[in-house]
Amino acid sequence: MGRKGLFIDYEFCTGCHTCEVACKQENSYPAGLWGIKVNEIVLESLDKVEINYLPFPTELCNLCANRTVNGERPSCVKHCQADCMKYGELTELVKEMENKPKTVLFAPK
Amino acid sequence: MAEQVFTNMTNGGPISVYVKDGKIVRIRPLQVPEEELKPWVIEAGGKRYSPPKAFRLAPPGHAERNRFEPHNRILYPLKRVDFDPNGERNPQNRGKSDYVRISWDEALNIVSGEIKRLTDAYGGSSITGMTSSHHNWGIVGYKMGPFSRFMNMLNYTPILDNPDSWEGWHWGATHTYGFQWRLGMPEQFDLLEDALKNTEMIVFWSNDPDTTRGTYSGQESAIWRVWLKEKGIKTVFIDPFYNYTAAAMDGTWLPPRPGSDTALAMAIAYVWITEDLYDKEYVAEKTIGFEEFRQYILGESDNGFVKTPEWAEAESGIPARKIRALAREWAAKRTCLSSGCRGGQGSACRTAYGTEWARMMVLLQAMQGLGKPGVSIWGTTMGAPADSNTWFPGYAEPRGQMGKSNIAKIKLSLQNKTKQRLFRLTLPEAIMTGKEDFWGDGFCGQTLDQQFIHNVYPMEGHSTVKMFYRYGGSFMGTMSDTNKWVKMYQSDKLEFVVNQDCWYGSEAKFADIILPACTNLERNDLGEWAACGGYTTNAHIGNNYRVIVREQKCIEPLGESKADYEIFTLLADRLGMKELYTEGNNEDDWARLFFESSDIAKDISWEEFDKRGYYIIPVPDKYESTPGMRWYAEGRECDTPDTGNSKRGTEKAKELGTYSGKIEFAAESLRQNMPDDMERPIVPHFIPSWEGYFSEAHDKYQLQIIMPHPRFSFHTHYDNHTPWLNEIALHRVEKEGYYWWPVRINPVDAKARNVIDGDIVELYNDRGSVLCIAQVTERVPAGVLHSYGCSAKYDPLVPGQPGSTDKAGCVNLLTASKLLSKHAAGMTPNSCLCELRKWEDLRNG
Repeated sequence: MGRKGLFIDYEFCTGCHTCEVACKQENSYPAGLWGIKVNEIVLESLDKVEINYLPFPTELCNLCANRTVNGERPSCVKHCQADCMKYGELTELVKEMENKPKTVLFAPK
Repeated sequence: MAEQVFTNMTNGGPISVYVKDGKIVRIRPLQVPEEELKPWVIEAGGKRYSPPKAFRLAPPGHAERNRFEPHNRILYPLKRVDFDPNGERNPQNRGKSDYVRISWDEALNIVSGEIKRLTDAYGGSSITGMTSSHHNWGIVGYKMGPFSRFMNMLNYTPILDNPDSWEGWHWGATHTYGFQWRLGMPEQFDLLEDALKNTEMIVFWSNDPDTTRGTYSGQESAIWRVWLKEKGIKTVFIDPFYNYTAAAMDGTWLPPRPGSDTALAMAIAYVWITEDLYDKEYVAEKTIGFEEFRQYILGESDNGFVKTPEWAEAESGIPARKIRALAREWAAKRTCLSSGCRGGQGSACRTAYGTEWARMMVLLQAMQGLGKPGVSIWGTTMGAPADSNTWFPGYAEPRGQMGKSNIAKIKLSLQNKTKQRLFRLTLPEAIMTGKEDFWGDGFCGQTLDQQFIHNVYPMEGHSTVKMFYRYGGSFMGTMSDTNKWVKMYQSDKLEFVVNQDCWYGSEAKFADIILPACTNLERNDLGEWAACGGYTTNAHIGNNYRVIVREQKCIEPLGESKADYEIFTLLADRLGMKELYTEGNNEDDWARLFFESSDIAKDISWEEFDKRGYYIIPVPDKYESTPGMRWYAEGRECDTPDTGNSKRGTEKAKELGTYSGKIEFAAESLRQNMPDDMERPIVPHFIPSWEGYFSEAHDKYQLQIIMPHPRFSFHTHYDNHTPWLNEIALHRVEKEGYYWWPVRINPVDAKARNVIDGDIVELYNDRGSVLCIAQVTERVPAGVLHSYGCSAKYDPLVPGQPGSTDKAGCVNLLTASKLLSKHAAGMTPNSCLCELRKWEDLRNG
């Protein structure tokens, strides 16, 4: 079993913050703690406003080890409303990146 | 004790609630085994589209658990310390004074004693009351249920609601194409399939569906817009704010000045008429009054005033060449107009003369063949395949209300002897001056003629109101001109104010007696996801699955809070009317009666439903799609499951709801009833806003502020007392220990006022002053501010003082009470000028 990771297609992330809140709910985090945090990247230097959203797994993210051990997906992936997050083997996920622009791969722990 | 799992419903979607030792430890989207979910499939362009096997909650649904922190909740009955029903009442101290805990007995005795005293002295019409919108979900416990049954039993004076989210559609669009039973919003059946198959371009006009989500449908439709984007359908966003859907779909952004949208729409019509780019056959056969409209647009009437793109550029700031390009592309492609999450809505309809914009939206699409394949008015949030013929009660229809449904032996809500009415938007004026008049019946869902009824308060033979029974509360934060609500509460004309709520909303602390109600997670009920009935029949088509949930009592009510039905039963008992009120039923008896009146009782027994906690109505195997208004475009009888359409199934089934049965460029309903109204004329007109870029006040207050519906809360609900949402920096921003409400400002305007990102700023005009945190961004053009108009917290620097600067972001302190126009009684929060300056006094403030 290789290392696992989090694949995010940020072309389709809508910035709804559901992954963030679902993670807090999963881990019962108090205010001020996040397992994943959505970043808004606004580029205003082009001839138009360009906005992207990118969820970032923090220091606290363990890819929901307690869920994945039972075959469940991490909470953020499960609840992603735009279906733009995937969980899996890094070697598999990297293949997805070959064909899909605007993607990132995180290997948190 | 082992963990137990219960089912329940919120206005963000259905949930499973995990409880251990009497405490909620976890809330998830309703857990249903995947094999029970049979997703529909839409085939279009060689692809198969099918939704995920899961329910997509709105963000507040995921954060529901936060709302059960005891410090948020009203736990005990409370009495204002300086309120004495037998002595000094001190109404002027409402909003200022503290509260003291009292027993339920004392609280109920005071409330029932006041009801008795006032009824004996002045009659039932001296009592008024009103519910909040959507603080709970259910049929038995929610607003039209126990509250309506109780208050009507007292012969109270009802306060009519205004359709606050879609004013222009209700007061305007209905006169073009009917749909008055949907309060002006068009039917949305099967328009997802239509768009995937046929639409080549979508014009989002004043619409941010990723934020407004079909109102109660969680984020079920988000994946639809992913499909639309993947498919490469071109998108255009007309909105002064570069909204979240625009950010996600990456479309073309055209930001008009607030209040200029009607001019823009008329210039598009001008291009189509002068360049011969409209559907003449459709206009000839399916519409009336086009010639009058054409003359107005081309300046053959209206004193020669021609509605050219150059004129629209001067009004809107959008270059004429871009207007022409948009008009030409719109006409060349099969274009969907997405002008609000239910087809209708959007900020532009909540503005001065917003009727005219909404009318223009319908008329533009009529010029392109509204109802033909790919040519729709579709919010992109409704229109999934579903079984829409199976009926289940919704709270906004008589059959879903315990005072009106046939399940009641006595239909108490229909027996109110008081005919006097008040209107929400002018309630403060009515109370403070003792007289008021207004047009319409609030929600005019029965006939177009309801809009032409003139109401006078007080009505002959009735008392002015002296007691206000408030149930939930979100006027402060959502209704215009917040200060007038403060003044209303402090008026001595209101001898008694009671507030019954679950949380400390802004209004609770303006009451004399506060009664603690429990939420629908602490009592039994039942309800269907997103389906309100009434003003949006079949609203379940905003969801990928039709889900009916048995709302199970998950925990004991917090503190001494009680179910609404129990509170009203206890009051009825003290008034000697318990038997009349309850008919011997407890809350669960009503739930069962509602269940048994529904169509699903044929498919699942009460016992099984009660135990399993949910029922999913499957999509029929041989589903037949009936796209909204296709029947009209094709000259057929209405074939959609729109039960509100009173012509459906009759000999007039091919007609729309207008007087002529056709789309009316010149409105016959207006011609016959108000032919001289120049603020809502027979043919839509462009009328400059009384408060806009070109108005006199602009010299003093140079920023136009818009206040759309919020992204991370449900109007006021879930704001303020939900830490997980407060921490999303797009919702509130923490600075020096306080969570501030954001206002978005263009860098040019910020620089001119010496403001940088993250500064605390004061927004002010002649009506009010409010503090926000500045977010400096090009997502708003210069001259425009954006801030959501629904802070749940009202926190004036001087508590209870009208006019005091608010710290918590009640931007509606700035907005005017003025209505859409003289005879169109809608609110206008997006016609507002203000100024902004850096707040230097943060530490002293």
